Amino acid sequence: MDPEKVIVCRCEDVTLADIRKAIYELGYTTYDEVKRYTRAGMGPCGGKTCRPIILRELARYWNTTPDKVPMRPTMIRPPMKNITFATAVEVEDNE
Amino acid sequence: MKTDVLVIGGGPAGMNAAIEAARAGASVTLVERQAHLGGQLVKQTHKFFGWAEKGAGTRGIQLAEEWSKAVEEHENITVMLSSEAIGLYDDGAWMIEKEGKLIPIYPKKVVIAVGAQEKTLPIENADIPGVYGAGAIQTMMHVYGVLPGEKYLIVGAGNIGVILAYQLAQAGAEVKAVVDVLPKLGGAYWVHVTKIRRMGIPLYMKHTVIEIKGTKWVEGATIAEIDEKFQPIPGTEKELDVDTIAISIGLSPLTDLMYQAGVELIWIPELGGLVPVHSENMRTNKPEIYVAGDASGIEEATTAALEGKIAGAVAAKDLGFDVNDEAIEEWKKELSQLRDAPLLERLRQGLHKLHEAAKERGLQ
Amino acid sequence: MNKTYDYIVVGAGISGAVVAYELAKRKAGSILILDKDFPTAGATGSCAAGIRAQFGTEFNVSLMKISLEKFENLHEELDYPKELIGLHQGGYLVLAYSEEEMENLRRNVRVQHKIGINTEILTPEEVHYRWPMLRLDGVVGATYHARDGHADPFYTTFAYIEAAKRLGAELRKYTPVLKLLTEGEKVVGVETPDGPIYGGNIVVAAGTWSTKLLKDIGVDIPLWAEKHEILITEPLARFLDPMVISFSKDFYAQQRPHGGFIMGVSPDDPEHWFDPKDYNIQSSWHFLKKMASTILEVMPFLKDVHIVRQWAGFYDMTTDHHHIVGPIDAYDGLWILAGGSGHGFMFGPSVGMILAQWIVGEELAYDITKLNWKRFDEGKLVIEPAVVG
Repeated sequence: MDPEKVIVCRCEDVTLADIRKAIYELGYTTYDEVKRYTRAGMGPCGGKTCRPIILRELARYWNTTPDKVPMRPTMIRPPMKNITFATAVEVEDNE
Repeated sequence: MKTDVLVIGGGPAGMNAAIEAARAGASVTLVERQAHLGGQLVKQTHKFFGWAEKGAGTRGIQLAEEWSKAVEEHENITVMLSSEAIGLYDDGAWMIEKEGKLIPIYPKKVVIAVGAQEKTLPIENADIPGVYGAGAIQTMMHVYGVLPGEKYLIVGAGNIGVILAYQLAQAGAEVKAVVDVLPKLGGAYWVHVTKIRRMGIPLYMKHTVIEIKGTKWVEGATIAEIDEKFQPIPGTEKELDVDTIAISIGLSPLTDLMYQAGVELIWIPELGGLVPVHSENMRTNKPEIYVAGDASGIEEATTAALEGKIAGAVAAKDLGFDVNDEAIEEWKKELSQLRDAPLLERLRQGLHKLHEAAKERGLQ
Repeated sequence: MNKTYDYIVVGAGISGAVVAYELAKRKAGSILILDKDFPTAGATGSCAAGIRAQFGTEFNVSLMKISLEKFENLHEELDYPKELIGLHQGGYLVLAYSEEEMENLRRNVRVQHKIGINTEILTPEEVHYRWPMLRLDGVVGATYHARDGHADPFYTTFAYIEAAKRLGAELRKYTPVLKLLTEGEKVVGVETPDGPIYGGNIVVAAGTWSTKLLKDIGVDIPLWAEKHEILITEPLARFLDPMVISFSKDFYAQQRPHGGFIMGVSPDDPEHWFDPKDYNIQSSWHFLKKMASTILEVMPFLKDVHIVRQWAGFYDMTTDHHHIVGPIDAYDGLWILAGGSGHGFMFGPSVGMILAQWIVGEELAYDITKLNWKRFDEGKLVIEPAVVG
């Protein structure tokens, strides 16, 4: 298996090799840093597919489990489903 | 919009959470992203096993109909279909997108019952057309009446993989192989396994897919036996003439809303990976948030329904509504009976870790 | 066990990164960069990374001219891939919605021309001819400067940090400074969870967190965190080059090289805090609604485009919306670079460099001494008319 050809983030075309390079060669060793360096997780899906794989790679680096990989929860950003501008103006705020 | 209990997800867990919270007297808003209630139950055209008293012999789609009827008939429940929770905002609003409009909901309690997503297989070419999650293929078949291909390789011989093999064969497709990295079958019910064996579908244990062929779409696959370290053993490769590959290597809880809400997650592979720490009463570290169903740890529809009942009832109880504690204890008992099956050793290990974690954190 | 450094830079956003690099380049001594999270974790990583020279005072235009020249050669100076730094000079198009506003823009342009910033003044017809996709209802005129643009805030900061490291600087991530350590009238180091680290000079470049660090040693600066929000869309094929902004409508919007539109609009009454323990960085739906209705007036073609992500960040605001730079002479060895007030990224390369010159006693490329911390008490505020927010 060639990590150069394994797509981890389909939205932003980030490969497993890109992720490993960021972690091992460049020292971006937390989820937030990997996201910022590689753009993985910045696409329309918000990281639903790539996040588990990246957390697993980082867990291997830290020799821990994915829940202990440093990550700020604010990295998971709304809206979790893409919405249009036409929708965004239509807020039904009648309390 | 204000509501006592917001239930996110209209599958078996969410529907039952809504019913029990409403029954206790709470006003409930149930949000479901599909145009119908039922969640994954609508894919379950086969009969259920395991829920001896109530569900056994019933098909998933029938259960979905019964529960959704109970939901729709209850005057305390507002059902929002084709609606999706898009985030938790700074003023405490859980924002729901419904048909081109945004509706902020300000609930007192929230039951997150959003279910799970399929794990992906990070191998070369897994991103070309013809590689699908098993659940996606089930949706195409059962909801839209479409078969995405003719010749299939199924990766993962858990319950979903084996049932999919059976459903595909019934639908007239050719299933060339089902492979699994484990040495023996774990999660799949034997009845289904026997069925696919009888149909002559080859089941390769200790095997994995090592190559997906094709550039624009799937044009074949290579499987191989693996050693103890999950590495392919040279010389054991088999070429398969397939045009579709179904990935069913497991599910993991959908956690995005939990991250946003500050629910603590813990790594329990036996329950699907990152799962919310929660008590037997389905309470989390956030006093306003409860979890149920696959979103709280991967099991199946009958346990999801029971967890939903507990979560809904406990949420109502925490709001001061009168709830029958005996019923809650009874559901817990039913849950442990269901989880007592010999096949479910791995699940029990996971639940043990979860309960230890909840205890350490003093979650009631 | 902890060694002693000549310089400790607190904060690895654009400001800290530039100062560290410029000090290292000047062989000023041993340098340690500390960040409580990691480079770009704060305001730099949340910002829209716009770069413009279209300001209204000689002072700011001059500084931005230096910044622009820096940005234009950054890939060479820092030996970092040009495509990553991602400087895209698609210009800034500033729209005016009243004659009064247009008159102010014209006045700004006169200042800009004096400094050698060749901003054009455009009629609505000219704007329409160049960018027919924009809806110009109510627009009475505009200014456009082609060298304005933006860069990637992550890679730009990483590039500075990497270059500083190559020159011997050290970076310690996830090392919050709990307290600045002083002895008498001198700073001597910083307290961290791993123990004290000693250093003869400390540069506080901690953005909004600077206020608390300084307050704890008795230094009060009028710098606070103001919450601003931003969103980005799905990528579209590129068709709009300039950053489009309006001072009166308080918005900016621009298509990034990868195709997504990034934009922000200022809140009517921004939330703000002095103490980090009060920060709330959660997004609001009020922003979403205001942004969408504001931008659809100008860019109606976005109507069915999807919003992918929104987030909030903190402007490090000061009373007069300018940086606080220079020595904090209440203590020997204490320096500050903070308070960019929404412009920290674009001014970073110039102001950071000039602070390094100040520290090592070189001649300053441009006199920024009036941005000293005492100006507030002395009533010598620095005023800039051309700001969003």
